[in-house]
Amino acid sequence: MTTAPAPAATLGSEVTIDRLSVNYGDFTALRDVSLTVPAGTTTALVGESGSGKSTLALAAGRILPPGASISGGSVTVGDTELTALRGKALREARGHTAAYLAQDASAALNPVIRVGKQIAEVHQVRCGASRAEAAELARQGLADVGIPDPDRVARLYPGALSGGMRQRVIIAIALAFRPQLLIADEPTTALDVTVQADILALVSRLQQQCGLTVIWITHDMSVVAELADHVAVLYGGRLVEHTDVLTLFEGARHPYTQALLTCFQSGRFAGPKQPFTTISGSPPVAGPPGGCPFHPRCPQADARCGTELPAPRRVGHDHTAACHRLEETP
Amino acid sequence: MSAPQPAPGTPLLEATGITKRYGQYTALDDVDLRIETGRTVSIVGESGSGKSTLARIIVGLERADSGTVRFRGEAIRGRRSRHAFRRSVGMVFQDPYESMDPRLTIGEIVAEPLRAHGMYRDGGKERVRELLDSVGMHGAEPDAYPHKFSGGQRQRVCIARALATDPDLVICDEPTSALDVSVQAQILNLLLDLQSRRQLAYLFITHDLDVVRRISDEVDVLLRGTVVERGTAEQITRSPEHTYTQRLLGAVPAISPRQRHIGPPLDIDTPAPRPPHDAKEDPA
Amino acid sequence: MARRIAVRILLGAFTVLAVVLLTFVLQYVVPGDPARSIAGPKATPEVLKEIRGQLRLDDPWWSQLGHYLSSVLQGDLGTSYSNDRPVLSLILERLPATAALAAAALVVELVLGGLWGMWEALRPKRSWLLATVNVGLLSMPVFSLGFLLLLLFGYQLPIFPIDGGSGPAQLVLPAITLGLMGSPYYANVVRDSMREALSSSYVRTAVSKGLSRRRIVSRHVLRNIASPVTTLIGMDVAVFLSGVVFVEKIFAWPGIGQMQTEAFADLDRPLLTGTVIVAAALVVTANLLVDLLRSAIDPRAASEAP
Repeated sequence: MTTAPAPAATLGSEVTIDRLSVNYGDFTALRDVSLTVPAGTTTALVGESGSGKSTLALAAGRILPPGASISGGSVTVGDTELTALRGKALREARGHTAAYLAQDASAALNPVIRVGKQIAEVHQVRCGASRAEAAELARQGLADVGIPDPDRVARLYPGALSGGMRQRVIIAIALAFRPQLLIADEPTTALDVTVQADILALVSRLQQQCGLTVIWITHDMSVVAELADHVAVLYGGRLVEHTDVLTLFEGARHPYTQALLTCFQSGRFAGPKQPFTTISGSPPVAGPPGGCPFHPRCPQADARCGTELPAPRRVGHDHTAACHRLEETP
Repeated sequence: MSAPQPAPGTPLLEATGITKRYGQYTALDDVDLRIETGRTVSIVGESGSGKSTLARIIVGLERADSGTVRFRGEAIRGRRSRHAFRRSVGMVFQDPYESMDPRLTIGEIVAEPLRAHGMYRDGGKERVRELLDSVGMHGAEPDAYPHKFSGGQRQRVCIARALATDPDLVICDEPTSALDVSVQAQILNLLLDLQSRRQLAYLFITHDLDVVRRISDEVDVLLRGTVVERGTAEQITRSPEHTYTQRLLGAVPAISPRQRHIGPPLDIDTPAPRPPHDAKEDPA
Repeated sequence: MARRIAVRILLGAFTVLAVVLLTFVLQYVVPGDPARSIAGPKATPEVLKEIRGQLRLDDPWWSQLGHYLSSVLQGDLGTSYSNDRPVLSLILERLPATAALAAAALVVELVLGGLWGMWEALRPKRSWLLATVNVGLLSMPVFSLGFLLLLLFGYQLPIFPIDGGSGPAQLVLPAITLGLMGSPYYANVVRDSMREALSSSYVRTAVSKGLSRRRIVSRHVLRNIASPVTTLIGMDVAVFLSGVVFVEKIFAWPGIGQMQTEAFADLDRPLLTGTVIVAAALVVTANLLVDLLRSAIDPRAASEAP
């Protein structure tokens, strides 16, 4: 880890997501989500299955699978409105404007291509580097993400690497673009806890060095506590709360965020064989019900919550929450 | 089955000197394990530690190169004793969807072990209903297929299946790591509740140290096929002695942004807002 | 890797040996007197006795087996009853024609099936026409298709000669028949593995790299589907080389298959067993080559058990 990536100027750009909606056929996976990520900061997107957090990540990177479509709203990274791009312009924006870190690094690398080649491809095809230059840049990229003996590793196939090493290779691919926005889709969920710590440390070091703008998707509140500057909580395809990380941990306003935090904190502090604090029920599978998406599981829900969708409201400096009963819940 | 009464003080399950090699690679090296009735032993380790191999050897899905597994003091050897033992042990896996045949109804899934041990004929149907009720699946149709249910509900069905033959020991291999955060706690509560109602012993395989601390009586820390540290949950998670255990605990991310030790330092220029009414303060 | 190859060669040798033993047992248990079929129905008992002596038919079975094994090992597969020539040279004479047909048929099915499969995989919607053709070809007996082509392009529109020659012009129809028969298998394998690859996470990575669709398919997808396709090729090579009886017969293609039919009609045991043994050796070799090829293309295959 002797060579750090050239810090140069700040890479990251401000990211604005404006009333973004994504559909899979008739199913709306994400509805009217708006948030801004300041340049050079990390925003964590927190949610459970069906919250739309991965959909948001794929939409922001413009790599939604066939069958899914952006049905409204926009994503702007720096000066580029990603959602307005088509064809060649879109292809060229991928990676450079927004790079994507996949959750399962073992599946995200092509099993029949050597890892060095998979990084070099970026330099060669996208940046017009010669074969030799690209190979050298790939080697450099591997060293930058803390891979020992990058010359040897570059010649290996992904199958010969451990999970943590593969995730580092994925990070090297993403950083090869020097992206304005890095979208990390639970990149540590499949990893062992010590490896996760290494990857979290690596990403935060790289972020500080290059001033990356990061959107980090996770379901794990402890990862949020470690990494995020701001947090957006999603539930049932909607943004329910958005604020800075400290305010979220110490003054969350939405009942879902509060319940999630209580679950998490009681998990860490309650005594042995004490029942765990839970949120009753489970996240909506086939799309959220009418009204507030959380109302069937909400201890404070009333009749209005079942029929009327709460709009996000400002509840403090840089703090919005979408709940009808905010007056009652301090 | 007329099991002879074991001598008092005999553990429910005792594995001694378990060794397993795959070619040059030693997956388990002389591992001992003891589980008492009604207690929970957790095996903590990362990938490659051999924790899943150990579980597979204990239930007989794989053979050890050497070592013995004793259940109620009797060595499990040969087909007969293995079949009888299988009846006394249940298994819950990580991924509830992959561990069940999607073409079977949930009733059939729960009934599988009953049929395998010839226990279905009298009152099997009622037993299945009862089992589904006991895991909190009240009112779920036994004729429904797994895909109709959420991940948490499927894991409940898997727990019902593990309990079908009324076992004394249940082996849980990362039973919550594929589930949503808000659902994990429900499943853990269910497992705790079943343990106190049925005097179940658990062999819990997990990497989640928060879970380990809450549910276990004893913890074994496994590193590259050897137990490097063993102790009560309290000892292991509060005052670990082995450097590897210390490293494991040190790798657990913070509980609050104020206590970061992995990520970037937090730029705290705003005073902490008033804490919410029910958020617990860090006691440390 | 070297160890793996050695194991594969050893396993292959065992397979061929097992086939040799099997052919011996078959000769032993099949009814009919070999001496009679050589000498003809009017031969005197003395002549028969002499022939039986020459063929060692009256020796004990273990002595016959020993003799049989040692001559097979020396490359002597016996002498054909019907035309009194060494079986091996008869087979080697026919092998080039069969190999040419196999190669041509393989090219046809690979090109046809490959393009067909890729076309289907890249289309968002299913084509009913192609699905019907697929099922039609899969369920059509080889001789119906053969006769159809023969009738259309051999007699009605006599474009291709069918005079028993072994030139390129005579090769076209049998190769197309075999290739058409095989193409739906290739189309299905290519389509399914390509669809799987296209929806995989590593293709998503490739998309996120901003690569063009052409590059994603040619660099990232095709190499991943090469492995199942190579397996299919290996199976086909084995089938084609061991003699495609119907097609060679229909188009009078002078290959091993045609010879097999004749040997069968004449009850020419050495020739029949000879073709079986040569076929086994070819199948084993083809499998070995395919295996090596797969390991070269796909690092995952290299770590499979032998």
